[in-house]
Amino acid sequence: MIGELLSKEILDLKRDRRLLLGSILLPLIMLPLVGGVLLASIVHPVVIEIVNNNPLNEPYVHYVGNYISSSGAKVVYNDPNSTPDVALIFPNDFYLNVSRINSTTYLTVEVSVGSGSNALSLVENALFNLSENITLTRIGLLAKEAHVNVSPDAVFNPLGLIVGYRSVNNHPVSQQQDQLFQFTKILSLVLFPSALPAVFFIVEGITGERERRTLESLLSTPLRPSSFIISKVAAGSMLGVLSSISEVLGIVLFSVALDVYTHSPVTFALPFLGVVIGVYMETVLLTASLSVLVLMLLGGSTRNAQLISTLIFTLILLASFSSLFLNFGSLTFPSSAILLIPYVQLSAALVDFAGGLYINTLLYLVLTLAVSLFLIWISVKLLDPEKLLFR
Amino acid sequence: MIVVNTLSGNVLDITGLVKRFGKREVLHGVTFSASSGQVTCVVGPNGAGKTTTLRVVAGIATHYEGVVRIAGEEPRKARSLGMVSYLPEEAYPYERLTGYENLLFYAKLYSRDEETALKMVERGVSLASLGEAINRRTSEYSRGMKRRLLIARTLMTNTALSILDEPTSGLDIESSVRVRRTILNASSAILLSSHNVLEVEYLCHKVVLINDGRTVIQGTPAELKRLFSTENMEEVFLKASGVKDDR
Repeated sequence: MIGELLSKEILDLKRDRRLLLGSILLPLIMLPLVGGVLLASIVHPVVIEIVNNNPLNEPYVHYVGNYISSSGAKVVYNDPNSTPDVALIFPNDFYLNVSRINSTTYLTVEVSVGSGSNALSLVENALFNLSENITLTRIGLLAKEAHVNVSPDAVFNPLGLIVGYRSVNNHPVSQQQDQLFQFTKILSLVLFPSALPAVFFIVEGITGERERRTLESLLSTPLRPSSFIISKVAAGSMLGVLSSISEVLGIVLFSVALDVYTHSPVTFALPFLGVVIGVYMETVLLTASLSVLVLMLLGGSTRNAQLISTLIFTLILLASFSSLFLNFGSLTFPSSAILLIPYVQLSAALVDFAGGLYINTLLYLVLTLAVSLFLIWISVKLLDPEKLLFR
Repeated sequence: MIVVNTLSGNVLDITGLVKRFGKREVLHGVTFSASSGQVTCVVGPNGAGKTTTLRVVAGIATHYEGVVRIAGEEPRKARSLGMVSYLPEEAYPYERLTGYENLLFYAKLYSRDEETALKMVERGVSLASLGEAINRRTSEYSRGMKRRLLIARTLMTNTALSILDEPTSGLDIESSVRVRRTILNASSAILLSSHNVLEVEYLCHKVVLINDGRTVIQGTPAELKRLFSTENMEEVFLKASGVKDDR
């Protein structure tokens, strides 16, 4: 009987083009859209104005200006009509104080409200570089006066830094893996919302039958409760397969766009895409099982469906943000208790895979699958046509 | 198809049916029976408990007290064995499917093999009498066409008992007549509820009057008219229900 109901669901789905299109398009465009927002900051760079009224300051002004330009920002000089994110003002006596070995000179930085920290960071980095150059010159002068043979660079930078990357379980990894790790956090943010159409299809598959007055007739047939629930979940999962393929295409699109605009593509292997599909499918399955269980407990009214949507959306938001801010692999108790919250394990599975913790990924996926199947089993046991129809 | 063979000839036996919604008792001991091959009508005023009784028999309302047996089986068991088909008062077909696809879907739920299902559908198509419209999506159907399709869907299954809740409710005269003809052409025992006195006289072999959750009286239309010394069923209902006729 699962086959009969599933065939009907598929036929119904095939003819609901809006839902089908939404389920395919949303995952496809979510990540490129987020990427578009990120790329917008590259296409429309921050604007820094440098104000200088003394030609003698110009070597310093150009040094700072060139540094900022090379970082991708737009630099304008003495332009009162511009609307810069940050204005850097050189005092008239800058060159004089800089050339004195024992003096400090002050520059003024004016930050436009709401311009963000990126513009200010750029200016601070440029000034740090300028400051380093001036310091090196001063060290050179002092060494000459003291008749000592030292390297100004070694005096100024006694510490060198060699950066390497390691996974949480202490295995050396490449910089690309770190990039993938960061990318996965963004992916987690969009992955769950893009699964919503498939989730909607499952919840609506039950409450919609009640609202459209087809459920009472259906539940009076010899259809077994298990067949009813499993076929509803299976139909939603099939939609989830389509959506997950779109999600993978979205990731590829995002990666290509990143390469075109930043020349630093995110590289990923097929197993990573496999994990994305796995996480996506389990998101759909977990949501389906949670929704069905709540419907069986509370009844199949539209209000209950809205309650479920709110509950699931809240959990999904929590999972998305936890993936953005937490490093799951290094969590200890009691912080690790967050992994008990539904969906957070799925975030962790994805992020941990990017971090090289493959066993954790497998564990989270298997556990979530087991929990989802258990919830479906309980739902089958709890299915009461009277409660589902009339409460 | 389930072949029913009961010693009493009754396909449905209800004794002392009590049903509560929370603390509120809505059925206080409904008792009646329905025979094989006959149309049994449950009649009564709004809120009398007709639909609730039908839902219990259909295996939809599952928590009750008393004894309900369909060919010897408890309603949930009878439902799972495909012995009952039920059409609620407020029911619609799947709107994205054609009439034929709707029939086929239900036929498959009631049959074990493709051949039986197709025979059921053939019967359903004939009962519905929708012509070429059977291959159109039901979203394009009028209310009367939808109702005819649903009644055909309920009766095509040849179950021991078919339950129809207000089958002609909200239909125009022509559609009502077509629906009644469809019901008369059915071969299984039918339990239906109705407000329509004309319909009751036309269709029913046996009438069960329910009022305030209790069985008030039951019998054939002729028996009831004789009992209350009246010519029409409307007066039977009024007298049996204790409602004064002001005409």
